[in-house]
Amino acid sequence: MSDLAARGAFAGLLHPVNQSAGPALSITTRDGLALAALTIRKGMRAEAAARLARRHDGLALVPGPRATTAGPLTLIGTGPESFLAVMAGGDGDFVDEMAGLLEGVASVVDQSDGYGVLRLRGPGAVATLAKAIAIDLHPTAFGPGAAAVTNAGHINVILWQVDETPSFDLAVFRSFAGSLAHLLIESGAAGGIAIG
Amino acid sequence: MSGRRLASGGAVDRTRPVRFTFDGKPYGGFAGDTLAAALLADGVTLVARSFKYHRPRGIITAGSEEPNALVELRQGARREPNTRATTIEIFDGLEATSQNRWPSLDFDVGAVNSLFSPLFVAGFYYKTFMWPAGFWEKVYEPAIRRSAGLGRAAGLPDPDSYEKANAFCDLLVIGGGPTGLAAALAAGRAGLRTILVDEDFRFGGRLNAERLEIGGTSGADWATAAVAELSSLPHVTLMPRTTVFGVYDGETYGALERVADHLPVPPAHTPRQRLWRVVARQSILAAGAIERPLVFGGNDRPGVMGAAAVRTYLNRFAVAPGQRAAIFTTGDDGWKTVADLIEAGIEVAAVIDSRIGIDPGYEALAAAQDIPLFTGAAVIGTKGGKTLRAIQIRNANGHVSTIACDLLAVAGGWNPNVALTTHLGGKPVFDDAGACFLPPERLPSGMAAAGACAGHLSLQDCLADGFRLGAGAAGMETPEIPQAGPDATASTPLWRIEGTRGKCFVDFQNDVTDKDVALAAREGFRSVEHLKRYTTLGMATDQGKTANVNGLVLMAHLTGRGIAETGTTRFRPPYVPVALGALAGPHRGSDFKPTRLPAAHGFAQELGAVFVEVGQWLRAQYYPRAGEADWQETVNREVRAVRGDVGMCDVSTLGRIEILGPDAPRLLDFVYCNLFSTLAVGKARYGLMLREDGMVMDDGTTARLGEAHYVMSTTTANAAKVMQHLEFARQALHPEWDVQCFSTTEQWAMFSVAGPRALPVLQGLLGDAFDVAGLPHMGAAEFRRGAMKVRLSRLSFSGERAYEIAVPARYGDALMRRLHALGATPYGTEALGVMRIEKGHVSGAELSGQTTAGDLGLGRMLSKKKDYIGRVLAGRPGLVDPTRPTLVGLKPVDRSRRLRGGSHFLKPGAAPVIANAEGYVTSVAFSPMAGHWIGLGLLARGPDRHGERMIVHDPLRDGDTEVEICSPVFYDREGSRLHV
Repeated sequence: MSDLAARGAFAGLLHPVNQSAGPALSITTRDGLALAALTIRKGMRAEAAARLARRHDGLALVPGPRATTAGPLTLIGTGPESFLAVMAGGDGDFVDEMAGLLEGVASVVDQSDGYGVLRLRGPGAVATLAKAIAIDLHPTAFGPGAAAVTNAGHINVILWQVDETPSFDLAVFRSFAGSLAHLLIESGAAGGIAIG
Repeated sequence: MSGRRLASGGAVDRTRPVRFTFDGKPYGGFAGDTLAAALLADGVTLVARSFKYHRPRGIITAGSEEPNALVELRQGARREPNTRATTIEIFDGLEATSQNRWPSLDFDVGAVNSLFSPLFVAGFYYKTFMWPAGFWEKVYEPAIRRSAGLGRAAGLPDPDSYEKANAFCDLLVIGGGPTGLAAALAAGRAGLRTILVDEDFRFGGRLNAERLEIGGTSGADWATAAVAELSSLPHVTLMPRTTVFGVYDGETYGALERVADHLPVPPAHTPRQRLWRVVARQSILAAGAIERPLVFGGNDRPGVMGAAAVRTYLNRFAVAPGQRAAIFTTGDDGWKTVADLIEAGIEVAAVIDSRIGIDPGYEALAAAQDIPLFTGAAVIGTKGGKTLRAIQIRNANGHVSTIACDLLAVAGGWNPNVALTTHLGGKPVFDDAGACFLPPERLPSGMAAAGACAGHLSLQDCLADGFRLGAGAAGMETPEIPQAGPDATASTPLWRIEGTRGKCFVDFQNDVTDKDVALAAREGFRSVEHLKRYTTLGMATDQGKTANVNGLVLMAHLTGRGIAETGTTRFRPPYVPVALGALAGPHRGSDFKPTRLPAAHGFAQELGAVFVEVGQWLRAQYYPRAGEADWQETVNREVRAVRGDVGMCDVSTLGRIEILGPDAPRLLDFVYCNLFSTLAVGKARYGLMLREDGMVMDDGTTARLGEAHYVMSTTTANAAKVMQHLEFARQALHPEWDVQCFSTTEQWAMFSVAGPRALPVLQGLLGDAFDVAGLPHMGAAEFRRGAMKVRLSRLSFSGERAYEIAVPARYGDALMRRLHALGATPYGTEALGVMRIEKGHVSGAELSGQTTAGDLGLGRMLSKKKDYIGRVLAGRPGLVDPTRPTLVGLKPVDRSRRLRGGSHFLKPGAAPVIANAEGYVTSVAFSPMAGHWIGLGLLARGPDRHGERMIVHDPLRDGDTEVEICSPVFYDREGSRLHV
C-alpha cells in the first residue's frame, strides 16, 4: 500500500495565461513542504520559543501576524498562541519531530496535506491579490515577514510575504484549491501568468 | 454632420471620426465626444421621452446628473437601459436607442398621458387604485408595472465579466477638476499615496468646459500639465472613468471603474467594469457643483439647456447646441455663456437677467453686440413642439414679449454636490449667503470638502482649497498657489417665477411639477421626506441631483417656512446607478460560492458519478452505470452491493477536529451530553452535542487515540459550526483549561468501507501493516504503512460490518482507486441515506435544530453524572413533554405506495388541518431490502404507537397515504450484521 501515488493539492489546476502580456505574475506550487499546526499550551510560550530557537537555528517565535524564517523552516502566526510551521523539503517525520520537540509545551498536528501552498511572484502579484484579498499589500503596510489570516474571494487563506520581489506564499485548505486557482488565474490574466 | 460642429477648438480628435447609430440612423462624431455631444453636433435635440407624460425631452446637462437623456445602449445580451447620453464615450459601431416611446421617438402614443395630466398628479396611484381591494394584485399592479419603467433589460445572461478589487491609500481625491487636481498635486508632491478618481474619461472638470486661465495658460492646458505631472509621481494613481458611489464606515469608499464601457467589446482578460473598495486614511471631496435648473413653464422642452452645459459643449466638444440662443441667468454665470457663444460666433437672441442693477460691463457687452437685454425679467414660457422655437419673456414691468430662438441657456446658480457627505447620515446645512446647501458640519470620518462642493465656486478659491487641503493631508504647509484668471461667480437665487405658462418641471426624470409640490403641501405632506415619497421627487435614477433643492425650496415658500427650517433629504449610495453585475463581481453562476472538492473527486468523476452540493462541498450522490434506467435502480444496486458484498463511500467531507491537551476529556464531557472521559484509548464512541438551549446541535463519533488526544467527527454540514462551538467553550467558557483544538478535515481523505466483505478488502489493502481482524467494533487505531500514516476505526452507519479508513489527503485519490480495484463498489450519499434510514439512524432531516435528544429516541444518552452545554435548558417542561413528536418508523399499508418527506401524520378520518397534525415525516427511502418505501418521522407519543395505522397527508404531491407506525429500525434490529 505504500505505493499509493501522491497527488498535490493543485495538480492539474494551474495553467499559463496570456503569456504575451509579460507575464507579470508567476505562480508556483510549493511542493515538498511539511506543515504542522501548533498551539502553545498555557504559559509555555517562552519555553516553546527557546526549544524552537535551539533546534532550528535561532528561529524566532513571534506572536501576531508575522512570518519568521530560519533556514528551511518558517513559522507563521495564525491566531492567539497558534502558528503554522512550514518546512521546505520536510518529510513525513517532520511533524512527529516537531511534536517531540514541543512535547509538553505545545500541541502539534499534521497539516502537510491539509493545505496547498502557492508562491506568487512578480510585479503583478500585488495587483492580482488586490482583486481577491481586502488587505493593504503595499510595502509600507505589509512587506516581507508580514502575514495575514484572511480570505480571498470567500476562501479562507493564510498569506505571508516572502521577499521584496515581491513574492507571497498563499496557503489554502486543500479542498478549495480549484476555486482559488480559478480566482487567481482570472484575477491575474490581464498581466499574464507563468506557471513555474 | 449638420454643421453644429464648430470649425476649431475642443478636446475632440478630429482625425479620428467615429460612426454610431441612434434609433437605427447612422451618425458620426469624433473620438473624445460623448454621445450627447455627438448627437448635438448632428443637430439631434430630441433624444428621449419622459417617464410619466412621455414628453419630448432633450439634453440639459453635460454630466452624470443628466435627468432626461437616458438611452439604451448596444443590442442583444449587452443591451443596457437608462444610460445617460452625457456620460457615454462614443465608439465605432455604438448602437444607441431611445426608450419609453412607441412606436417612435418622434411620434409617441404614450404622449396622450399628457392630456390626462390632471389625473396623473402626485398620489394618483394611492387615490385611484384603492377599490376594489382585490383588484390591486391581479389587475392594477400588473397594468401599472407594464406601463412603468424606462428602458428594457437585456433579459439574457451577461456575456461580460466583472471584477472586484481593493485599493488603499493615504489620500483619496474624489473629483479631478481644478480642486481635485490641485489637491492631488500637493499631496502627490509630498509623497502621499494618493488616488485621484474622476468619473469622466478626461481629467480637468470645468477647466475643460470653460475658457479659464491659470498662471497665464488656459485652464485646459494647466489640467493637461497637472495630469502629466501626477502620472509621473510613483505614489499617485490616476483613475479616470471611475465614480466614487458610496461612503462607508471605516474610511471605506465604493467606486465603480468603467473599464471597457467605452469599447465595443471588452478585450480578452479585461472586465467590463471593476468595483473598487477603497480604504483611504483621508479623503478630499472635490465633487464640484451641479447647475440648478429654473422652474418655469415649458422648462423641459428640448432646446432648454443648462448654461454651463452649453459652455461645455462649446468649449470642450466644439459643438453649438443651437443656432440662435437666448440666455436666462440669475447671475454672472450666464454671462460666461453669452461670452462663449459670441466667441463661437453663435447668434445671441436675448439675455434675460433676473437681477436689477447688473454690472455695467454686461450692459455694455449686450449693447456692443446688439443683444436685446432684459433685466429684472424672467422667462415664463417656451414655444415649439418637440424642439424649442421661441421663449416668452416677462420684463421688469410685467410686459410679455416673445423671442425666437432654438436654444435657451439657463443659469440658475449652482448646488454644491454634497451627496457623498451625507451617506453616513450627515444632513446638509443651508447657507443663506451662498443660497445653497453646504456639506454637513460633521463630515464622514477622514473626509474634507473642497472647492465648489464646499460652496467655494471661483477658480481661485478652488485652487486654494485644493492645494491647502492636499498639502494639509501630508502635514505640510500650503504651497504657493497659482494665480487664476478672472472668474465671476455672483448670483442672486430665483427660486420662484410667478405667473408662468405651461408645466413647470421640478424633477425632470420623474415628471414632478411645481403643481405636484403644491398638491403635496395642500394635502399635508409638508416634510421633505413626505414630499419626496408622495410626489416621487428625487426618487428617480438620478436621485434628484437637479431637482431636490428646487422642490424643497418651493415647499418652503408654500408653507411659509425658511429653507433651512424646511431642510433637505439625504442622499444614499450609490451616487450613480451601479450595475448588479459589478456588485456581484466574479461571484456568479458556479462561482457564486467557492466549491470544495474531496481529494478523490477526480476518480469519482471518472466513474461517472452524479454530484450533489452539500454546503460548499460537492459529494458523489450516486454512480450510475450503463444500462441503469434511473437513479433509483442505481441506488438499489449500490445498497445491495454494501449489504451483500462490500461498498465504499467517500466520507472525507465529515468534519474532523483534533482535540489535544490534558483537559481534552473535560472539554469533550462539557460539549457532549454523554461521557467521553471514560472512553478507553483505542476506542470510539457515538456522541451527541446539544446547543445551550437544550436542542440537539450535532452528532458524530469521537475516537480516543491517546490519553490527551481525541479525534472528533462532525456532520458535513455542521463542521465549521462545531469547531466554532468548541473554540467558544475553550476560549470563553473555560479559558483555564489546557486544551487545544485543530480542524484536520482537510488533512485526511476518509472512506467508509462497508459490507460483509469489508474485512478481506481492508486486509488486502493493508497487508501486514495492521491486524484489521483484531480491531473490535468501535475500535480505533493510528498506525503507519511505510511512511504513510493511516487511521482506521471500525464503526458503521450502514449497519454492516464497516470501517472508516483515513490517509493523508494526497493519497486519497489513489486509495479510492485501490479500493475500487479490490472490488469495493462505490456508493454515494443516496445509498448512504437509504441504509441509514433502514437502520433508523438520525441525520440532517432529524437534526433540524428543533429536536431534543428525547425526540430522536436518544434521551438515554443524556448523562446525569456531569454538567454539559444544554443540560439545564434541555430539562424545560416543554422539552420533556411526553407528547412531543418522537422518532418512529413508518411503512405504507399498501406496499406499492410511495412515501414523501414532509407529509403530516393524521389520524384516519381527521380533517387535514394543521391542528390535527400529530407530527411529520422527516426522511423516506425505497428500501431494496424491504422491497417497499420506508420512512422515519416524528410522531406525538410515537414509541407507544407502533402498529397503529395513520394517514400521512401530502397536499402537494400524492395526497393521502395510509401507513403503519413501526420501530425506526427496519433492518437487522439485533445488529448481527456488524459482526459478519
